[in-house]
Formats: sequence, structure tokens, C-alpha cells
Amino acid sequence: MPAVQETIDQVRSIDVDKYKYGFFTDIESEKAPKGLNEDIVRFISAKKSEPEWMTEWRLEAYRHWLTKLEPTWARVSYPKIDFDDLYYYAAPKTADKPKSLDEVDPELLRTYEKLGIPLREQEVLAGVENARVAVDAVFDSVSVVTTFKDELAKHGIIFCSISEALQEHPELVRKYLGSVVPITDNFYASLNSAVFSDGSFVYVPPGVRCPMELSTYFRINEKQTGQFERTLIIADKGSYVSYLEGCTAPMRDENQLHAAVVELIALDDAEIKYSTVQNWYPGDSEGTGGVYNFVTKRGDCRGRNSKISWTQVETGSAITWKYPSCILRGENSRGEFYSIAISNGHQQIDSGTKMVHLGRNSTSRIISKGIAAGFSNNTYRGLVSAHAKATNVRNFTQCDSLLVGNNCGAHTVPYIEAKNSSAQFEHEATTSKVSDEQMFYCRSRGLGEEEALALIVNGFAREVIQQLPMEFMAETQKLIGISLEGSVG
Amino acid sequence: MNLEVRQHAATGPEEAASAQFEARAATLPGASWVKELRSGAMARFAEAGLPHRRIEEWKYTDLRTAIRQLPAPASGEASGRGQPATLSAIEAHRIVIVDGGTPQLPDAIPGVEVTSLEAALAEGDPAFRDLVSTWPRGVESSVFDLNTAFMQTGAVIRVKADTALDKPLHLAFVATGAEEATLYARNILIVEDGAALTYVESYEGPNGLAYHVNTATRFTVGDNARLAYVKLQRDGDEAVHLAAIGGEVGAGANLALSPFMIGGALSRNNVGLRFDGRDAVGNVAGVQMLGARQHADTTLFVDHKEPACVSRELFKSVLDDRARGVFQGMILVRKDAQETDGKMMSQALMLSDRSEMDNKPELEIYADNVQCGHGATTGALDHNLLFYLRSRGIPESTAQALLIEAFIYEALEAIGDEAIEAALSGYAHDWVSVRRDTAE
Repeated sequence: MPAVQETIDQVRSIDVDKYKYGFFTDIESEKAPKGLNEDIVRFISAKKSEPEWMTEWRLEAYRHWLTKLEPTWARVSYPKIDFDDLYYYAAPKTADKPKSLDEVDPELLRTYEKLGIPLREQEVLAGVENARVAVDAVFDSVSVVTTFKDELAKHGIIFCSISEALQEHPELVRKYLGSVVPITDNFYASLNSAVFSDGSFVYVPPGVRCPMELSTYFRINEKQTGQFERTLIIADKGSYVSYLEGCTAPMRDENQLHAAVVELIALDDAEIKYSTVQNWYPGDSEGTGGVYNFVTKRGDCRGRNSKISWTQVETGSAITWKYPSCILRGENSRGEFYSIAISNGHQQIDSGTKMVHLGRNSTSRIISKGIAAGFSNNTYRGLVSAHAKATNVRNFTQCDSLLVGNNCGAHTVPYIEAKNSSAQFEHEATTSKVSDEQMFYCRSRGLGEEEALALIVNGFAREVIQQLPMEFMAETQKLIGISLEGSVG
Repeated sequence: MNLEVRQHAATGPEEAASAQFEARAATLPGASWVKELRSGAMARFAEAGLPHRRIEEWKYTDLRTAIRQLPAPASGEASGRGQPATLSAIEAHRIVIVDGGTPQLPDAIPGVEVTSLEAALAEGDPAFRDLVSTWPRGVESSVFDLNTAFMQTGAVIRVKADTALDKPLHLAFVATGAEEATLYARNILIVEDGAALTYVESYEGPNGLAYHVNTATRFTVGDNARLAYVKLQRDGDEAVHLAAIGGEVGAGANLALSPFMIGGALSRNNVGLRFDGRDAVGNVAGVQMLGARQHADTTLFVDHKEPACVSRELFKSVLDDRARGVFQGMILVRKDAQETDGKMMSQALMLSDRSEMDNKPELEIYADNVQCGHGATTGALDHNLLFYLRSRGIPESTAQALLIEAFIYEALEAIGDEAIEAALSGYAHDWVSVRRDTAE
């Protein structure tokens, strides 16, 4: 298995204290002053030349945020965040927006190069014909460059930054923004609604099958900058779109806050596939530093026969608090959630999903694989519920946990609520360790301990890895190897 | 998700509790250490109030809205006479407590000491004190504090080392309906090393009376001892039943705990058990059969503190009409509890479209060499099975009854005492028959 060999090489080449993506790019940036108040919210809105209603919307969100308390129910612990000690806006300094890649600051391009982002078409996947990945790269909150837009436009697909969408398609944004995750939803969603800097906007018109995988790379670069991404994806009737999101962050000592909101809307017969690979800086081997990832992701299967599928690979961040969910409103709608969550070192993950069945005959499937190593804690928290009028709904849930070492914890907290008799819910969870027999077998074939572990864990998570788009699959297998580095021996 | 916890004004029942405590404190049984315990518990209750849905463990059973009034503690003198109807056909050593009065104790049983709670509280044996005041995780709540503040009757049972009883010991609580009161019972059950006991605790009362039962039973199972513990709740249809059951299991011991809930308008069992020695086995098999607007909640906490213990939790709910069943189970495996084998399963059979089942089976694991799993299913009766039975000439209602009884039988089997199994099976059969009669 060549992919596994690659994993092993990666594991060897990377020292746990030298995070692969830990480097800074020195670019001047424009910042709003520290702290948060109505003026800052207005400043952000003005900076982005937003319409009046948008400014009001943000302010309303901000006022809601003030009335909310930080959630404490997740099984994570961290020092109190001083929300007044953060910058809420930072933009790379460019006088005019670049017209093509050649005009982009070479510093930036070099950063992407180091990260291995396939910005140029020829770099996407050598040797694969017609493989195209459109990248809307977000560098410190502002979309700097968007490629492939023209080709997408031919199909009528809108793929742009959300600030651009606010200028050019305000009616679409106004109709859908906040319709899945309202500004009152939770502490971090309200915060995000008030101060979000940028993010991606996708609209796929009726009957269109998006010809390529859409992808965004988020990155946190500016010191002490909380990053508040906002993503809105709308798949109109009968359309299909697959969206990829991958994240890396430079190394730093101060904790970073990341509170994104992702909203997906699938109308009749539409399908959205959303894949994430998240490998932000998890903190050093002592557990200091690292990103706080408090994300609200929710999809709304609004139409009949609509489908939303979440696939996530969570390997980074010091703290992850993330529950990509599906509101299954449409008749015969379907929600899927595939997750691999790997925690090592002192990472804390509290992640899972919600499948809220409101429509008749809606179905959902949850496959969650948690791997805990080192001193980490890894929690699956999920809700499956059937409304009284949602007849004949079905859910299948499987959450498996694997423990590597004796200082970590694996937890499962499912909530299963059936409000009618025709709902058929099945839930299974297991926790076990890597068996000595499996290790022995691999070792006897000449594999080292870490290589063997990477192989076994890749096998354990296979069902989820297979759901990933091809270009993410290889990356994920490498990531699993890297993430488990230092956990055995 | 992120709702603020507001300071609330005390509700009627909460104010009533404080007033009742002031009026009764002086006459409640116990030496000075008990009085301290009581006032401490009452202070905690006054602070916290009744549990409500913002408290995670009470998410599905919000007592602040469900309990409209808190009847005064039983006077203990209302009737004093009366015999239990529940399990009366079972041959057993029987302790009977009627309307919260003084326990009627059985004739002397060799190797067993039985006293009343009142007598035990008057003394200060330190081991007994510990059992009254320290409980394993999973049972604490403000309802339990209320029990500590008001505990008035109950039995203290000690089965001496290596004693095996010839027949079950049955502790029967009877509410005659002479007064609409709250029964506060506290029982202590000590099974010493190597002893074996089958213990049944039953609750019964009349329909149409909104009485309350607030009961707590603390057990301890010594090394290599065996305890089969059956709890049968057949309270009246308007009764509120709040219970805590908790204790430790020693090395090599075996505990079979079987809560069976069939009565009451609102019931909640908090069960906490902890493995204190290696190689112990804990088997919790519960059944709840609910109809009308009944609400029953079993919340279970299994604490694997020591290595190589086996725990099995099986929970069966049958829900008809507008009933609501809740099962919350937690298996905690501590860092040193290697080689733990834990399996938890909750299954619900929903007979009506308006019934509701909420399941929350949790795992919290800190040891790596373990096998743990849980499962949860909810669904209606299998149409294929029904069809099969009907194709064999069995009428639909009988076929349904057969399937329901078969569904719960798996949990009843765990008790290990045929006579009791048969009796419980009989209650289940009656429940199904009543349901069938109304359907026809």
C-alpha cells in the first residue's frame, strides 16, 4: 500500500514539536483596534461597504451576543477567553484587488506553495485528466484570489467570497443568510454573525451539476486575530455540489480563536456534499498554544428528496467544538455524517452531529470514528430526533472509539429522541484498543510500531476515508500518520 | 443550547418543602449527627430547588414544571394496618411499611439482622453513618437531598458473612390512601462477604390519589457475595415516585439489579453503582411498561473503579398511548479499570404514535484495554412477526401481546429467581391484557 508508505515517511520526517505548517508570512495588514463594541461592528461593515440592512443585521447579532453566556456543556476545558483582547478585523494590505495570480503578492503565493495548495490548475493532480479544483483562498479573512470563476459562471454557478456576494447578489444573501443558523442560535454563532470577515458563497442554479469540486483553504496568519468565517452554500432544485474545505495554521504560542459558521441549504432534489480536513495547529507537546475551533455548521434539507452529506477529518486544533448537523425538513430527505476525529498530545475534541428529522420518510446515517492518543480527550456528542409528525424516519448510528495509550479518554454522549412509533432508530457504539494481535502481526511483517499503528488506524477509519473526495483521501491518510506521531513506544 | 441559567423565584413545592421542614425538623428521628445531616441537605435543597431541564441529568424530566405541589411528609399514624397485595403469593420473609409508619418486622431470620431506620438513626455506629451519608456517584440530586432532610422510615438489613437465605426478603411499602402525603423512606442493605440474598422492594398504592414517594436505598455487596435486587414499582396512577438506589460491589461479587416500573404518573430512578473490587459482575436489567400519560425515567451511572469487572445493562421500555420513557445510562471506566467489559443496551417498543422515548447511553472511558459498547434502538412492533403469528391463526391483539411479553422477557430472565420472574411476568401479562381489552 503506497499510501501507507507515504504516511510512514511523513511520520518520520516530522518532529512533533515542529509543526509542518508552522511558519509566518510577513505581510503588512490593516487591523481594527482590539476589542468589540458596536463601533467595531460598524467599522467591519463599513470596511466591506455593506448595505445598510447588513450592518443592522450584524448589530442585532452583536446585541444578542451580549445577552448570551459562553456554553459550558461540552467536555472541554480551557482558560477563559478575553473577548476584548482580540482583533476582530485584519485585512492584507492591497490597494486594488489583483486581477490575476501574477498580481498577487509573491509572499502570499510562497505561503501557499509551502502549504502545497494547488492554486494553479496544472498543480491540481498531475496526470488526471479533467480534474479541476477551484480554489477560493482565504488569507486572513479576506478573499484575495478566486480562480475558475469564469468557467463556473458559464454554468450559472456563483462561487465567490461572501463580501462579493453581498455586493453583487444581495437578494440571495439576504434571503438565505442566517436562515439555517439564526443570529440568536448560540454564543459563537451570534459572535460570528456580528463580526464575520469573509468566507465563501456558493449558489448552484436549478438542475445544474457543478462540474468540479469547490474548495477553500482557510488559514489563520495574523497574530491574535480571531478568524470568523462565514460560508453559505445554496443548492437550488435538482442541483449538485461538492465542496472541500481544508485548513492549516502557522505555529504560534498564543491561543487563537476560530468561530466559523457554515450554512448549507438544499432545495428539492438537490444534493450537497461538504468535506473538511482540519489540521490547525494543535499546540505543542506540553499542550500550550493551539487553535480553539468553535464552529457551528448546519445544513438544511429544505426540499423534498434533498440530501446533505458531511464528511470531516479532524486532526488539528487544541480544542474542537463542532457539530455539523442536518435539519431534515423535506420529505424523503437524507442526512449523512462521516467523521474521523483524531486527538493526540493535549488536544480536546467534542464533536458529533445532530440529525433532526422533521420530514416524513427522511433517513440519516452517522458513522463516527474517534481515535484518542497521548493525553487527549475525544468525545462524540450527537442527537438523533424524530418529530411526532415525521413518520417512517430511519437512522443508523455507529460510533467507534479507539484508545491508544492509557492517559487519554474516549467518550460517547448520544441523545436519541423518538416522538413517534414509526421512527426506527439504531445506535451502536464501541470502544476498544488496538489489539496486541494486530500489532504483532504487523510487526512480524517488518513494520515499525508507529507504521503499524498508522496502518491499523487507517483501517479502522476506512469507512469514512472512502467518503472523501479523491484528492483528500491521500492527504487524510498522511494526516492520520502525522497525528498519531509520538503516541506509541 | 446556550441558554442562560436564570435565578428563579422558588416555586410552590420548593417553598412548601422549606415550610414543612421547619414544622417537622424537631420530630424527625435521629441523633444529633442526623440532625446536622438533615439541615445540611435542606440548605442544599433550598439553594438548588427542584431539578429542572437546564441540569443535564434532568433534561428529559423537569420536576420544576412537573411537580405542582409537594404533599406534607406522611404522619406515620394514618393507618398503620394493611397488607401488601404485591407479590403476596411469593414465599418470603416480609417487612411491611404502611403509610410511612413503623416497619412491621418479620420473625428472626438466622444470620440476618433487621431493624427499623428510626432505631438505627438513634445510634451512631460510624460504619452505619457512612452508609447513610456517603453514596457512590450518580444518585446525588436535590430530590435526594430532600430525602435526607425528611427520611422518616425504612429498614436496615444486614446479612452476615457467608449466610445464604432460604427464601427472598421482601420489603413492601404500602400506601393505603388514608392521606395524600409524601413517604420519605431510607433503606440500608448490607450483604457481607460471601453472603447471598434475593431482595425485593415493592411499592404500591391506590389510583386517583396524588401521593408522593421519595425513597433511597443504599446497598453494599461484600467480597464474593451475591445480591439479586428487584425493585417493583406499582404505585397508583397519579402518584409521583422518586427513587435513588446506590451502592458498591466488592471483589468477585455478583449483583443483579432489576427495576420494574409499571405504575405512577411520574417516576424517576437514579441508580448508581460502583465496582470496588476486581472480577465483580454487575447486571442491571430494567423494564418499564407505560401507558396513558405516564412518564418514567431511569438514570443509571456505572462506575468501573477497579479492573476486570463485567457490567451488563439491559433496559426495555414498552410505551403505549402518550407515555414517555427516558433512559440515561453512563458507563465510566476509570484509568485503573483495565480489562473492563461493559455493555449497555436500551430498547424501546413504541405501540402508539404519540408515545415518546428518549435515550442517552453514554460512555466515558479512560483505560485503553477495555471492551465497551452500547446500543439503543426504538421502533414499533415488527410487522413481519405480527404477520407470521396472524397467518398461524392468532388474532392480532393476542399476537401483539405475545410479542410484547417476549420483548421484555429477556430483561426479566436476569433476576435468577423463577418465582419472582413468573410474578413479574404476570404483572406484564396483566398490563398487556388490559391494553388488549381496551383495544378490542
